[in-house]
Amino acid sequence: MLEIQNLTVRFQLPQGTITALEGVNLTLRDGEKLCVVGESGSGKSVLMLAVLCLLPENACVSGSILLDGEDLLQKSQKDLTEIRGMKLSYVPQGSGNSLNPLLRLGFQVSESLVAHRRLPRRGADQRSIQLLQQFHLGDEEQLVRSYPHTLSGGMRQRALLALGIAPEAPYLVADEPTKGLDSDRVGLVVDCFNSLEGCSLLCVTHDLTFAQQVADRVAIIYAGQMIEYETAEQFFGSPRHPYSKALLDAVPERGLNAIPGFSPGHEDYTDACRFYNRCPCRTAQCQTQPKDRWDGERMVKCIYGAP
Amino acid sequence: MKQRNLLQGRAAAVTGMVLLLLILLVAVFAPALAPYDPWAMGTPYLPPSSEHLLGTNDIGQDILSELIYGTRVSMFIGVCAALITTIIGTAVGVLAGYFGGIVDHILMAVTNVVIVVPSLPLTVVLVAYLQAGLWNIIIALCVTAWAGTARLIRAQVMQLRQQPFVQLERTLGMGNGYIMLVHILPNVSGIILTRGALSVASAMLSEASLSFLGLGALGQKSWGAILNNAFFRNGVVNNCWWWYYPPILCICVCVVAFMLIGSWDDRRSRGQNLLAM
Amino acid sequence: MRRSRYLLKRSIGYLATIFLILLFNFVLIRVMPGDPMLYILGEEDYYDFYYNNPEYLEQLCQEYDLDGSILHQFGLYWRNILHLDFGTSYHYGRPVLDLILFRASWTLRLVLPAVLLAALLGVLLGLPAGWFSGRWGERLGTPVLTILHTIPTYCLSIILLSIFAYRLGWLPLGGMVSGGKSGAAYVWDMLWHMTLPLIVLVLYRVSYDYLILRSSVREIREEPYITTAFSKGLSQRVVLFRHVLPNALLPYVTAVCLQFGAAVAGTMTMEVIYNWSGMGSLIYDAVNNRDFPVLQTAFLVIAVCTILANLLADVLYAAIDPRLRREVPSR
Repeated sequence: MLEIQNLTVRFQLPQGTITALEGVNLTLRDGEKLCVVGESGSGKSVLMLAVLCLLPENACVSGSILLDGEDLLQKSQKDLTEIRGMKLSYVPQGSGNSLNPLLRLGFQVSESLVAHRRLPRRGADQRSIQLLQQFHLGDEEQLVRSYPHTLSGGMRQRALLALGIAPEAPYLVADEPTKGLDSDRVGLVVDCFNSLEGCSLLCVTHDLTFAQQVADRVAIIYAGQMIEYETAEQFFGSPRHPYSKALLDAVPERGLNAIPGFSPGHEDYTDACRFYNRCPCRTAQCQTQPKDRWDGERMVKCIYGAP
Repeated sequence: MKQRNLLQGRAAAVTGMVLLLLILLVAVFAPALAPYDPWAMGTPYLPPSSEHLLGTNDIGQDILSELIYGTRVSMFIGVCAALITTIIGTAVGVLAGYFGGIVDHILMAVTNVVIVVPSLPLTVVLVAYLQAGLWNIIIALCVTAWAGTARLIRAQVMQLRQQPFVQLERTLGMGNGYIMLVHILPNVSGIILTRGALSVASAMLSEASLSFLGLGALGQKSWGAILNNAFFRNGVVNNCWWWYYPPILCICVCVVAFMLIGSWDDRRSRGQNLLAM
Repeated sequence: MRRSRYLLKRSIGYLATIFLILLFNFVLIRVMPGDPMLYILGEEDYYDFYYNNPEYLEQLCQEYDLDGSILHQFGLYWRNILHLDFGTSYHYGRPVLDLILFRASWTLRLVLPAVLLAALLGVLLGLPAGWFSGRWGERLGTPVLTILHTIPTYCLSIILLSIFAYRLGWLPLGGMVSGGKSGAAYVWDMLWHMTLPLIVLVLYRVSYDYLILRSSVREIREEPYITTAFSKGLSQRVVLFRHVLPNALLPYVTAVCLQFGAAVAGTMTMEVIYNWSGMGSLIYDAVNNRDFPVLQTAFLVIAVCTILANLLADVLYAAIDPRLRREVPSR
């Protein structure tokens, strides 16, 4: 079980301190698939990196991240090395340089196995071919010997998925695994995630359709705060937070009703509810931030969310 | 955020400016500050004393006065050369970056050739042919120095050209010259200034090298020339530390000052990049 | 083949540069005031012939066809260059090119070890400094090395010479090798003479190398693929040497090669101070003697060296970076 308790992440920057995440509480049960949904800049990538303890040095992290009862934030680097790539695996974001430009793809995909399971480097290619075949990259034997720059964006994304599932870790953390993939390919990812036996998945996405196909539970992050935490069924049936409703209405199938306005920048945080300016149902009460309203396993950070 | 190190950031730049201001003041008020005429001869090889704060050289000239007057020569050459370098570099960079295409190809081909040519030997050759006058040296120093600035500015201008406001101006039918002067130049002024400061430093270094080799401006007492005297007229052999350490110190302080100014750029730091993901 | 196209393009650029330098040399002696023969022969020889052997001067004048068309002169100029004939220095009594290549070998004995040693030290210091950037070691080391880099080589040379040679007497005042030695003794003696100039050069270069490697390591540290590497549970050592260092070395190798040319030029002042009879002292003497043919050819040789170093940088870059290799390498 992965429990995130009261996680707050701040960055020290020359201009001052920026709060990227504030008081996030999440639980990922064994074998459960949890999708964290939010806009870009909402802090979801920071959440992923916090779980992996891979935030840059200028990040101040408080709270706790319990993996099977042990707090990752208190672990030594050596212990973390043992955990990463064995117990906890990561699917990096596909945009940008998530693959080392100077190493062949085959080695990079299975590198965690070489490191932890003493897989010989020669065997790495074989294993990588099998892994890549799952995602229909085509001509995998050639591919494992090529360098990342020869891959298209979509191919790179799928190679990263293969890299993430390579160690068959019980906990998988994925950062936007469907970004830049067309719907057929998204289907592959869905199949892959659904076929992971006994693996708990923490997946960041802004693709609600994908989330619906994969998630057991959904957490919504808005401007650094978790504002709703529900079972998938509940969420896609009757979301409670106005932002969640708006998000679902913005899905193409429901008519692409974009939410007016923009989410606040880090410098614009006030005492009011962070969604205040864009909220269709704001009242004077919303001038002060609502509390997290827990109701058993569910949570909503809104005055309307009262059970 | 914590300062990364002593040579970066605002404080460093301010330190550089203060140093520069002091040096400039010394250059401007040299006649008032110098205790003696730097050309007047007296007792040779005097160690520092209250009369001659930095002693005298082999023909009895006061070294402090030489240094103070030397500030003038060194600064003048450095600033003039940097000014010309920066103007040429900026012009080439802006034109190449803004027009692109064939103009860019030609200008960058020239720049790439110039950048490969080793600058100090070329300068030496030029000075040997041109005779060592003050302006000849300045020209010789400028011949290759502009290329680096041109490259940097071109890269920046190419980015700017894609910006909506420039595109808008173009569709509005504004003249190219107008757009370049009013919209492009102010946006690269940061680079121009920092590069300019670094150009002064490198021009002063080159000038000092030339003067040290005895190729400096004839009859001018620059810091390099003082060092040349100290070395070739037995200052080092006779252990006259007061003769050769001060010009070395002056050169170094001056270069550091310009470098501090030139190093001032507020780069985006970690964390911020991460949040933009 | 991407790589060969890239190298071809670079080579054409370099050939153009050499051509322009030769053109520059040709034009320079003809636009200068006074008799072009003065610049072709150098001041000493010119006046020697002028007063003692005017017929020979006249004959040489004919040989270069200085009264003929500029086109014909240009043709002759190129013919001489293609025959590697850069004239004769009467001052030294041997062909200019011979003289310069001999002197260049002495400069290389100084520059080559210095550049390599500095590159090695640059990695040893720059890698930890870039990785642990912000810790006290780096925060102390970087300003110290940056300031070291601002001290011109000749200033540092004078300081070290005055301390270690004059005051302490540990090391020789200058020169390259004492006479009458052979074999191992000769090599040791040369190394002993080399110590001070080598230290100066290494100190100057290492600060530059250090700064380059440090900043590229610092940039690479932020790259997403480093996060990926850590997420696989690799130890810091593995990440550093497998993922960070090779990527950091890519621009570094280029930078080291490029400074090779600058280093040859940079030894000029130092050779004069340490009385090292390399290219630098040769140029210095040539300037003082107004020995123009030596000066021009020396400049040409330095330029060619620099260009070769540039080419080496391009070749190495193309060899290391897979982005410039063929699409799928064969085993």
